[in-house]
Formats: sequence, structure tokens, C-alpha cells
Amino acid sequence: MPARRPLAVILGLGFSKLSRQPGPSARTLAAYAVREAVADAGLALADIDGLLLNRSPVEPSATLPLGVQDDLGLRDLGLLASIEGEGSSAAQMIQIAAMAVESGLAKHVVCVFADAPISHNVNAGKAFAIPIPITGIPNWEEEIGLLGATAAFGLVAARYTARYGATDEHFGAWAIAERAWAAGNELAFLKSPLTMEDYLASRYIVKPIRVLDCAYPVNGAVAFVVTRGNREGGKSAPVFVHGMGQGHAGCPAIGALEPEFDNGAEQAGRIAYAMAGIGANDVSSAQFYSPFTCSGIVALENYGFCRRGEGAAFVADGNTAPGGALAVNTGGGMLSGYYLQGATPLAEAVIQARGQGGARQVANDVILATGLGGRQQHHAALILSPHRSLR
Amino acid sequence: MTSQSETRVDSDPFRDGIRAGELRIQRCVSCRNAASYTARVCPSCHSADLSWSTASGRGKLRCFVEVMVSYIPEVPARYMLASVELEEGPHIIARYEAASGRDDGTVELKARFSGGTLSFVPT
Repeated sequence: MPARRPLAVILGLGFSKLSRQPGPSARTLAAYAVREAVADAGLALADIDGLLLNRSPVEPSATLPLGVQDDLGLRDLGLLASIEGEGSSAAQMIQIAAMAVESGLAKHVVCVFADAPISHNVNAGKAFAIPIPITGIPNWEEEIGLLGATAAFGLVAARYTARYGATDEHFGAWAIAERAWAAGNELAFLKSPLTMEDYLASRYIVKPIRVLDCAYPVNGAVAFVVTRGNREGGKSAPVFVHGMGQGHAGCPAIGALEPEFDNGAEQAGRIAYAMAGIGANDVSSAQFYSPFTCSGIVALENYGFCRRGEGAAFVADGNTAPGGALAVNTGGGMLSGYYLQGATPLAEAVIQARGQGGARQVANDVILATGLGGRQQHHAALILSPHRSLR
Repeated sequence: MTSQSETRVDSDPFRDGIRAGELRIQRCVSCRNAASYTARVCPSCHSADLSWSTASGRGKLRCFVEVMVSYIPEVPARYMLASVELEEGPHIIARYEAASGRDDGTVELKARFSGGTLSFVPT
């Protein structure tokens, strides 16, 4: 069988400053990250002919408008769009960019996520504690007090517990493993060692979700430059895109359907693995979009690393911690690293693929990076590698 | 029974139902299938003619959470929210009142109406 050609290459990665303090707007941060990524790719802004934007789905469109093009002085773009797949958008940007460079729509596409949830009068918790319309009944969320993702994912944790008998310690094991990984990441915000006692003592936000089950939001932007698979010349090793998939199960809340688990992630993984010609067993590290401990456990199952209902024990056995069977969220993830939505797993995947993980570097032949949106209705997956061919 | 397509935009049959002491769900006028609360078109026959009809108010507890933090003054903590699978099929997320504690998700519930609000309680 001939070696598969990569779909595209991620040649540039750029960060703005990441901060827990109020500061520049998302739009300003985005422009900064784009400049960094373009320079990292060994390109000039004049070489960029495609721009994809990803703002937080809880922010209005003016937060990161198409006018970012003009902030950067980009002229005559062949591709410009804001991607609205909720938390799957960052991975979707890479997918659309890969298709654009392959088809000839554009040569060099820059993809940027930016968010500034923390301002002078809004802290990190409040920023995301807004009514998200998931019940289908207009304004019902405010009326009953279903505020933000924590309550929605609390129901995921509770349903998982009701069905599969998970314990607090199972969820805690995920948080402890991510904290251990964060120790090796200079970008991570929470690095002090975390014990099960610390975890169990942390306060509940929406029981069964504790504060240490939740993502750690920051202000910041991350940009990626995507070009054709035959292109090299960046400041770092090229990262090849070998597979991609999406899954949107369209799982309505009715009957025996389980929107908490059977949500499209399995489909996204299956398509991405098949495209890359690999299986879950070939994955060296998994970088999951997991804003809560429960979503990571469900993702392990949906992406084929363990069977339904076995993810909790898989984590509790230490498999996802440093030295475990599967390297998972090696930058500390969203809980101990930083929460920049889909940019968090994607940036760590690129860093690992480049071999720039320093103390936390793991085997990097095949890296899975995922995106997850809404109440887990939207999924996108990428298979990345430093190798031009996976065969 | 009122068809959504024939009523004023500001009408609110679901909350009218709560005030009248009944739980309402959406049903397709054409195929009579119950539709989820998120549906705006019948997922079975694609008719846009969904109507509100009275449900039994009975269902099964799928799972629940207890909100421990007051995010807005109008909705003070603590309170419980449950995902309930109604007898007719749709899942609803609503207030839940019961002795706190975990369970196996098989508790039978019924809707309770009090002062124009809806909550679910064990039967």
C-alpha cells in the first residue's frame, strides 16, 4: 500500500500572553497571536491568504469580527470566515484550512482562537455562569437557575454516576492526573501538587462538580498557520495533519437516548482514525477538549480507549497520569493548564508533535486532538504527527 | 390545544400550563408523536405544526445536580435540578425537590405545581 500523503501541515504556532488579570480585548490578543504564528511559520503577513476566526460561543460576534483582517492589514484574502461549531470550532478551523489549502482556495491559512472572559467586573467563574439555552424552553434556564456549563456538565457527571457507579475519587483522579502533567508545562497556571484529600475538600459549585473539577479560564489567544503538506521552512518541525473527523449526533433529549454519552465523539474519532489509517491503539498521546473531569472520562470511552462505563476506573488506575498507559492532556489540560477552549488541546498537540514538550514530552508518533462543543453535541477530531507518513 | 403556528409570538403555552397546574409537552399535529422541548419541527414527519398538549406529569429521574452557588440574586442557592424522562418520552430539566443524596436514577417522579412554579418530586 502506498504511503498516505498528509492532508496539510501546521507550520506555525503563536500565543498571546495568557493571563488571569483583566487586559487587552480578545480582538487585540488575536492579532498578537496571529503575528507570532506567522513569524513562527517562517512567513510574512503578506503571505497569508486565508483567515479563520474562533470566538467563544458565549460572546457576541463583535468580540472577534471579520474585521480582524484589517487589524492585521491582510489584503486580498481567498478565505475568511468565523467558525461557529461551539467548542469544536478550533479543530474545525484546522480541518477547513486543510481542505482550503488542498483545494487551492488559499495557500497559507491562519486560524485563531481568542477570548478575554476576565474583565474588571467579571471574574472567571461568573464569566461562564450565564444561561446557555439547552433545555429548549425559552428563558427556562434563568428561571430554574441552570446557569452555565457547570450545571449542564453536572448533569453529565450525575448521569454517568447513576448509570456506571462512578465515585468522587474517580473524578478526582482525572483532576490529579492533569495537575501532575501541568508541573512540566511552563504555560500551565496550576502546578502545585494535588492530592485526593485536597480534591475532596474543594468546594462544590454544582454538586457533584467541585471547583477542582472545572476548567481554569484565562484571557489569551492562540493562532495556527496551516499550509499544504509539501511545505516546510518554519522555525519548528512541521506538524502533519493525517486525519480529521466530526460528529454531531443530533441527540435530542427524548426517550432512551443518552445525550450525555452518545454524542458524536465516537463518530468523529472513527472517521479521523480511518482517514489516518490508524486505530485508537496507535495513539501516542490524546489531547482532549475536556472542561470538566466527567467529560474527559466520557471522551476516553468515545474515542476508543476503553469501553462505555470503564473510563472512570481507567483514570482511577492511573492510566492517564504521567507514566501511565496513555498520555492524556500532557499540558495539564483545561483544569490545571489553561482554558482557551479548543485551542488548549490543539496547542498542546502541536507542541508535543514538535518535540517541544520539555519535561512533559512524551512519545509523539500519533497525536489525537479533539474539540467538544455545547453540552457535548458537537465534536471534531484531528490526527497529528511529526512524520510525513504514518506507514 | 393550540397550534404554535397559529398563536401570537408572545404566547407561552408551556408557562400557561404551569400556571394552570399542568405540564405541557410538544406534539406533532400531523403524526401525533411527542417531540422534545428543543424541537421546532417534528423530527419524525418534518411538519412545522407542533402543538402543546397536556402530559401526565409523571416520569423517571435520569439524574440530578445540586446548585451550591448563587450566581444571580434572583435565583439563590441551594436548589436541585433534575433531568426527568417524562412518561411521554421528552426529557425535561426542571427543579427537583427531594431528600438530598445520590441514587441509581430509577426514582419515579411527578410534577408539582405551587405558586405558578414547576418542580418534580418523588411519587
